[in-house]
Amino acid sequence: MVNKKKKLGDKRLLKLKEALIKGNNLEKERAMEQVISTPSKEIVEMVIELLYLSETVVRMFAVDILKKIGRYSMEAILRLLDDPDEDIQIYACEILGGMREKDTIPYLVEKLKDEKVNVRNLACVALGEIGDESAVDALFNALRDDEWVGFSAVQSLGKIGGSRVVEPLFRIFAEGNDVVSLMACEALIDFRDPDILDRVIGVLKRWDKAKRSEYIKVILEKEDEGIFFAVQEKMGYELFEHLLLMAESDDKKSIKTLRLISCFRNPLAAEVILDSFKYISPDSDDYQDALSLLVDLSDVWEDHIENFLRKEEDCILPFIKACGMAQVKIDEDLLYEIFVSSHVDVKREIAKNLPSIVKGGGSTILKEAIEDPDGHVRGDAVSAVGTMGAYDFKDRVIEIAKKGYPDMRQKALRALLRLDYDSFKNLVEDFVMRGSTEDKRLYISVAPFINQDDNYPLIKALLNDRDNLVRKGAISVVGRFLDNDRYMGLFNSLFKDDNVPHEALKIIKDRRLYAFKDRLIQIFSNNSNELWTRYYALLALGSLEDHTLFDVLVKGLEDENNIIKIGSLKALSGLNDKRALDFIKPYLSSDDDDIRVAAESVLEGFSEV
Amino acid sequence: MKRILVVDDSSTMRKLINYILRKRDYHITEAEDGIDALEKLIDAKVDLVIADLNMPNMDGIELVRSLRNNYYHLDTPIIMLTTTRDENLRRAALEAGVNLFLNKPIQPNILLYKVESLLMGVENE
Amino acid sequence: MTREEFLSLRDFIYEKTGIFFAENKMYLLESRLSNRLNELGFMSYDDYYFFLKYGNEDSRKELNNLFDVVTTNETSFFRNPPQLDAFKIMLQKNYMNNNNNPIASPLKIWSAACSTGEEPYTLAIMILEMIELTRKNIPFTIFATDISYRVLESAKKGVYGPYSIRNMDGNIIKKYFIQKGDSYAINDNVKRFVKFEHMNLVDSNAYKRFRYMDIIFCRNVLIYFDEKAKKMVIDNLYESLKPGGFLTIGHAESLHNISRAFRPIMFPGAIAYQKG
Repeated sequence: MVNKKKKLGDKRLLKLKEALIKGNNLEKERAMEQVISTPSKEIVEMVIELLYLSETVVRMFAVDILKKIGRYSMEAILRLLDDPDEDIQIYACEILGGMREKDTIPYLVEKLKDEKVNVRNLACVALGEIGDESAVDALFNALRDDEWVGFSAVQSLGKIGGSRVVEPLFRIFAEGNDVVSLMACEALIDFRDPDILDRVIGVLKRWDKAKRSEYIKVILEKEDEGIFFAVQEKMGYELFEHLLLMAESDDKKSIKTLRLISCFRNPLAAEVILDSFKYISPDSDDYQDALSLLVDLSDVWEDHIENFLRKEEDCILPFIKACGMAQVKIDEDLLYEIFVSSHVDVKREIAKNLPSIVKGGGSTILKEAIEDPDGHVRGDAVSAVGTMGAYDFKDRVIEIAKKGYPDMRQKALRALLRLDYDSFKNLVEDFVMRGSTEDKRLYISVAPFINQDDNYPLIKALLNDRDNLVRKGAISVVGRFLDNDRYMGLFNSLFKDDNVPHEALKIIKDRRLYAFKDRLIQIFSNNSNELWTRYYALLALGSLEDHTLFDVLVKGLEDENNIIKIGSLKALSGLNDKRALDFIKPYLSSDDDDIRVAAESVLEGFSEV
Repeated sequence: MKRILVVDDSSTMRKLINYILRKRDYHITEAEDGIDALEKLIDAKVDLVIADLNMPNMDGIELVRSLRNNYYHLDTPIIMLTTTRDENLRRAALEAGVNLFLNKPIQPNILLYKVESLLMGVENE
Repeated sequence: MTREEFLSLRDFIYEKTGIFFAENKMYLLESRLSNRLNELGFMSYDDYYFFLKYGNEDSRKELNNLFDVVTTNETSFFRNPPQLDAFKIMLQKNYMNNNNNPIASPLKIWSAACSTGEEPYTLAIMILEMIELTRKNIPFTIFATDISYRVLESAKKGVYGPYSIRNMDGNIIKKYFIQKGDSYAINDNVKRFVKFEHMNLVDSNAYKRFRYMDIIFCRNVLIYFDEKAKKMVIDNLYESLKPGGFLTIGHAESLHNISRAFRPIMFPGAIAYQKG
């Protein structure tokens, strides 16, 4: 039995080995996943063999794997540190670094004395990755080694941190020689300690500008706000210049750099931000962020807009958006010129923001926009007519309201409402009394904007309309005006039989119309009523928060239909009645997710009582 | 401003080379491995590539071959900087189209000098 | 929309489509679904969620509408020229060089997440142009799939407005479209090379119908998936390719850390991924 098991294991091992060596990348990857999920001493030793093969890809996979599972045969890994092949020793250091086991530190420290410089280097790096203080003394010694080793030692000391490393790092930084000094500066900044930062800046100030700029770049690349403000305070405009240089050389215009630039509130900063839009995709989060930055600076650029308007379209679009958001106004002539010479994206944006960005009546632009081939532009122009009270366009607006796409018609109607209430009223009456279903739906969509008395005859007419959506809409309008006796009368008429529109039940729930309690109980209790009608009646009952309803609601839990069960659970949650606990507990283990969740939330509500 | 791409899976190595090259006002892009490097090269134009040999996902020689197969990088100077002393690999790298194969560690000044010469179009070694 | 409503809907959508709305995109989901609520007369997102889960026949139909509003469809003809140039080079180097041997089987190209059809029609036009230029006949079929029935219907009709064709050369427009006022209808001689089908990329079983592809375009849908879904889709696309086949993904997207299986191939201003 034991032998059989071993054989299977061997076979599997061989298959995995073959996949790692000969398989294509996908097969190698799958083999790697398998190996990592079933680690063992044998597997580790098999993978170690792969380190000696000639294909780099295979060796790299092996290193990756061993970083994750090497500890299953630690001695085998440690032995590699003394392998005659320098490359193998280097891999061993890399693997130990990835494994992060404190116990391996003494071995790596030994390697810091190896005669081969690359091995010493990688041992340094590994000690930094493990990140334990016990390596600090050995790393101090390594500081005096070859430049590359010293560099790694500095970085590793930074990663380990702790108060002991500050002074040695400071010494190296202050010497100002080369890359090691830069690295030490970075490591010191990483402490995020204000006193250390102060000292660092103190040293930097004593150096010449060119040298200083190298270090500032390193500091800025940390992209940390706290650090930035401290440096800004001490360095002022010089820092701004550095940032501009950084932004110039950075292909993708990091939003973080832009944010830092915006901390210097001047027109040049605004211009740099605007220019960066050439490189930002409109879908990305960065676009919104950059826009906010620009808007934030509006007080700085609102008097310099001619320059901005001469930029490419990629910049004009966000600029128009920013003007809209910041409510900055542009001369009508200038805006008109841009409108007629731009692509549809910019046109859309101008039309959308017209009321807030045009300095003047805007009618030259409206005239163009309202006839534009693009639907969005036309729609926004129509809305703008209303917002801006452009009375000259009244007849055109009426034309549009009578015919065309529904959303366009609706915009026109609403614009007409603002322009001339009487024309609006006449048109809308026409729609209801003599119009098509679409006309009636259109009226419903604007009904909330008309006063109650004018609405009444129209709504009354539509409550019995043939079209389902029209009736629904009419009911919801009624729901808005229930304080008015006449509307309440209309509402009541909906309950003459049990075929109550769901819309009406939802209104009762939202407004907690207690007067309908008994009617609701009737509707719910009648099992032959339509399912969703009962459901909504149940929810409405729940909203009344009436304890006398307890028995009724609990009955709902026994209904065979899940929907009613859930409705009852929801309705009970509002009651906060402890008696419900026993009835609800069984549903905590229901197979149905929604029932379970509903039960849980009801009980949660109880625990708060 | 000359643009240099540094490809190495070790962040310490990338940082070190980055810091060394900064002295000469080069614009530096970093990549973790071959695939990362090629993806970053879609939009970025690069004047020189420094790559390590041993990298996961796509090793250095594979990367060099891909670059040389591409019209835009037929002549881009490539320096391979690595720890290995394997002669076969060295030869394979040069055959793949590497301009210069150097063993780490290399003195920063020497690296800078080599980079500068390659950028100026002077052939070396 | 409350946070609980968002989480329920978000999980439901992820389960059905693989599209994942991160928490900071709650406003986006809210605005996209509000139309559906208005249309169906629901007062709350909770009601809508319930309807989707329990509404039987009607809600199955509603799923299609849901897919529609959740995927944005900002496409146009000849989008991202560098990637299309890469496509041309792929064809020239790999599929058109058989001087004497006729190609054994027709070229199979797959436009995954084709939306309203601009991408597959663009590819078809490009191949037709190449056939004319080289005077070589290359039999080909373009499979175009999407998760939304509505956009597929629209794609089959093949009628477009001035905004979609804005990147096209006037001569190409005249050659392959019939213009009526502001509408541009694509010619039947292009349509016959494109087969539209419904397909959900996160349904692993659905890939069986799409095998041995020579070239796959999957641009701007991966951006909606989280890492897990992305990896699954990419692995499936890998299996769907012939050895030596190419995959092109969105310009801003990356396979780094998603899959090592492909070999990246550089083109000017674009990158494609080759199998094996």
